[in-house]
Amino acid sequence: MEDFTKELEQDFLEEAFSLIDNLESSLLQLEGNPSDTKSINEVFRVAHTIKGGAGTVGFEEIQEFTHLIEDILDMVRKDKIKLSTDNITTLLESRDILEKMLNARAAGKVYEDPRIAQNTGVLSRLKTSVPTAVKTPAVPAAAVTPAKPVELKSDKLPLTNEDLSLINEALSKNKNVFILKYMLNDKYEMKEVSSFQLYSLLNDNGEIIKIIPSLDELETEFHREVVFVVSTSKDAEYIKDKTFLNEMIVDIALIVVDSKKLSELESSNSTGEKPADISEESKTDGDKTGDKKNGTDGDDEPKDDATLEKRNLSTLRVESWKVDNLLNLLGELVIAKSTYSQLDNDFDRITTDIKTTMKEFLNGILKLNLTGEPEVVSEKNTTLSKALTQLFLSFDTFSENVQKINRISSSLQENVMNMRMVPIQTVFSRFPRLIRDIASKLDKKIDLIIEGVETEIDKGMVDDIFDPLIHLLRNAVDHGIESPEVRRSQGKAEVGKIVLKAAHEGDSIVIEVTDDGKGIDPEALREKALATKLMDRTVLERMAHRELLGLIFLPGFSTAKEVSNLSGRGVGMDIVRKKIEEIGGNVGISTVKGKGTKFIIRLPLTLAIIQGLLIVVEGMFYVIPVASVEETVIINPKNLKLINGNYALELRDKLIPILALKNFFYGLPFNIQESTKEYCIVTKFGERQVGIVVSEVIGEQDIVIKPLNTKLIKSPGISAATIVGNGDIGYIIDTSQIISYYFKVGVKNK
Amino acid sequence: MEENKILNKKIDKEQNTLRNQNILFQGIAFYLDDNIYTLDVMYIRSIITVKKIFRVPNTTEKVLGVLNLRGSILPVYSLKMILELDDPLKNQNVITDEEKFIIMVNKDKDVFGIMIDSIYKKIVATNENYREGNFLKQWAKNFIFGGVLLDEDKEILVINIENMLKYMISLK
Repeated sequence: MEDFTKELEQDFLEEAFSLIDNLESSLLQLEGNPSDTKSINEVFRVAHTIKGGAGTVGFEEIQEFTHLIEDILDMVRKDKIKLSTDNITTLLESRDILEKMLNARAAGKVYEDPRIAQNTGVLSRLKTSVPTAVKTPAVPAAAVTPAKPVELKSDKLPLTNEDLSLINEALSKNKNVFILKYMLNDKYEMKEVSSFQLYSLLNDNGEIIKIIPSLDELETEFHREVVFVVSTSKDAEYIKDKTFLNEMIVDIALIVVDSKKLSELESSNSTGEKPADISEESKTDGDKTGDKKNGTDGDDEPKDDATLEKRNLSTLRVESWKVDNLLNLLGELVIAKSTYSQLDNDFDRITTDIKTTMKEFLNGILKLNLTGEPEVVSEKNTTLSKALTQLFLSFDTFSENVQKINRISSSLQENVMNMRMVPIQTVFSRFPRLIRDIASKLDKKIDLIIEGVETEIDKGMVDDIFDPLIHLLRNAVDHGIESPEVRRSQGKAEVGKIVLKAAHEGDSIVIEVTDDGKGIDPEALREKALATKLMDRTVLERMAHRELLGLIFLPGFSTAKEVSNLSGRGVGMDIVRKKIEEIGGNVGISTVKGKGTKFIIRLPLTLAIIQGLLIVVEGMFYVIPVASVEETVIINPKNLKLINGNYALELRDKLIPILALKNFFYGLPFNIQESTKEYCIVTKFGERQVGIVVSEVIGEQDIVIKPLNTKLIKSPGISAATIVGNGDIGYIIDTSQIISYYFKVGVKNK
Repeated sequence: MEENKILNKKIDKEQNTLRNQNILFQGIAFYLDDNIYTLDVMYIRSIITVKKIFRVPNTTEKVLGVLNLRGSILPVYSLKMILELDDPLKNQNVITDEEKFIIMVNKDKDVFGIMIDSIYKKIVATNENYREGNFLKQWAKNFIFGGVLLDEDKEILVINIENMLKYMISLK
């Protein structure tokens, strides 16, 4: 039972967390367009759903808090409140508090903070600043208490001219006219007769002008909400008191119709406004009643929820470890597949060999020289020939099947990978708010344009990519975009533009962060590097602009003149690059002084299976991720130069420092001779290139990444392991680590 | 598997209560060269024979390498070298000694193997035959032992998994 509750809570929290992300984006949308009904409804729906869920799992503080938000939004929906920027800020704060409340609950605590009271205070004032219709508080019924009191909207009643004239007539006779809305208890055994009992009670105490839905409809189907328009000589309290039938009724709302109200009703009727039919509402409620039979909560929900529910049916929520397990098994399959492919190649080679050597025998011209009786020999020869032919046929079938397995496993791989993919929206949706807040703190005007939110990325990357992106965006706002005054003086638009864009490009995901700010001056970077003595003067002076830009990714390099709260502490871009490289990606930069800067992040599609270049070093298998490989060349010893005790390879007029893996991993000396064939795999290191030297390259393969327990296995230069085709273990090389290690040692040597 | 262990323990415990003895733990005793050591069965996931162990470059030689156990790549330690004894298997790129055994140990979330020469027997530690070995801790290299178990005329050192794991994590 406890487990079940835990599970419920878990489900609620998961859903709530994903909902509050939507809340933020919808609120920000509302700020730009306060009358956007879609966003209002969305925000309302989120608050409503969280409220309902919180109630179910008994998170009372969350339920109360969202209830208040919901009330405000309901008033917005009904045009009773206009949302100002201040109101949006309050609601955004509410959202943050809600997140904290959820976080606290996730940690098994209840969030307590003076900010809650402050925020609810503002919300309550906002709520009470608007006169509301006469509303009776929810009166608890024996069986059910509604999560929300019944609401009555007089302007949405489908009243005909005849009804209106009857009301008018009653009023002229000094009678009271009331509009009464009852919420009936659908758990009541004789619920079908509830409305008729009410009908007869009201009829006894006055005259019924209108009943919605009609009596005919009530007869065929139970409706949870029924509205009566009655004229009576009794007062409101009496009528409510008289008709509040315990067990049968959950709640009553009442509107007094006076001459003023009548003219309102008449005007709303004559403007031709389509009465947002209570009948339709009742119908929805009718459906809800059906739901209730199945044990679900039949609350007064906005109509969109029906569609939403339908949409949810087509999704299946699976815990991510289950998909990971599946992926792990798939990895095994991929390994087994490569073993079969290898076997198939062997068979092919062997059969070709046999066929060549025994061509004549198989053609029947020649017989094998067997000893024994000629007849027996002939028979043996025939049997052998037949068997061999049969064997070759079997090998062909085997080969076909291997191809088939290859195809199936590839498509299986693609599909399982797909299961781990989520739209990048999950990451991007958090940024508009952030940019808005930072920009307002810095008094800058910024328009954040987000493109390609539907681009899918591996779920495992979602958290890893968030920090680097946030840093790049902060930098763009803080250092990139100029203040409105400066922009004006430079003839730029006052509002700066930051574009965050994601797209698929071949086997990678490309994320770009572009701003139209002041750009980066490479010469300033050179000066800065000289001043901080980060590098040798001679090296720095030789550097091209493109290489100079790469400096910003070095640890301890910051170009900000002043350290601000937001960015520019000098520990930023190196971490950005490190984080991105950790998930197998890379980051580049292009900039034009005065025009803006663009950061380009390239990420692999997935984390579980990568394309790798399989190599052999000292009889052991190693893998270099293809993403970091630029090209592979065979080393011509003539092109090797010895610089400061380290070898470099001259490649197309460029000197590339090289590093031999047998030296790095096994401490063996690197000495190349004319007779040996060595390969140089040119890899990227930021803007630099480094050649990795190996003697045996097998080729490109799908590599299933098997994590190593890094607490126990600490091997610099190795990021993970894999199982290769023959079942042996291979190591996946972390090129960035090897190269930075190499440079460290290089510096030491000097 | 886990239930079986618990059940065994329970049955044994009941038998013991009859004998008026307290079972402290059950262990698997094994040989390293001529010495016998023991490990609490609660931490033993399985005992396997060596298939292929691949050395990981640039790691301490106390890690003999890694093996593939049903799709997971797990480290295997030389207990001999942890105890500062000589291990002929050290620094081999690939180990394929099929006569050796590996005890796969599971402590919290860490799974690793320790290479042993052979199994001696299953052993039961009671308050009669087990002595908590605080005295062992004064020798730095012996801190991985938790106590001594007397079995007939033999003194068997009992490994304290927690300390051993701490030591393994501290290795560079």
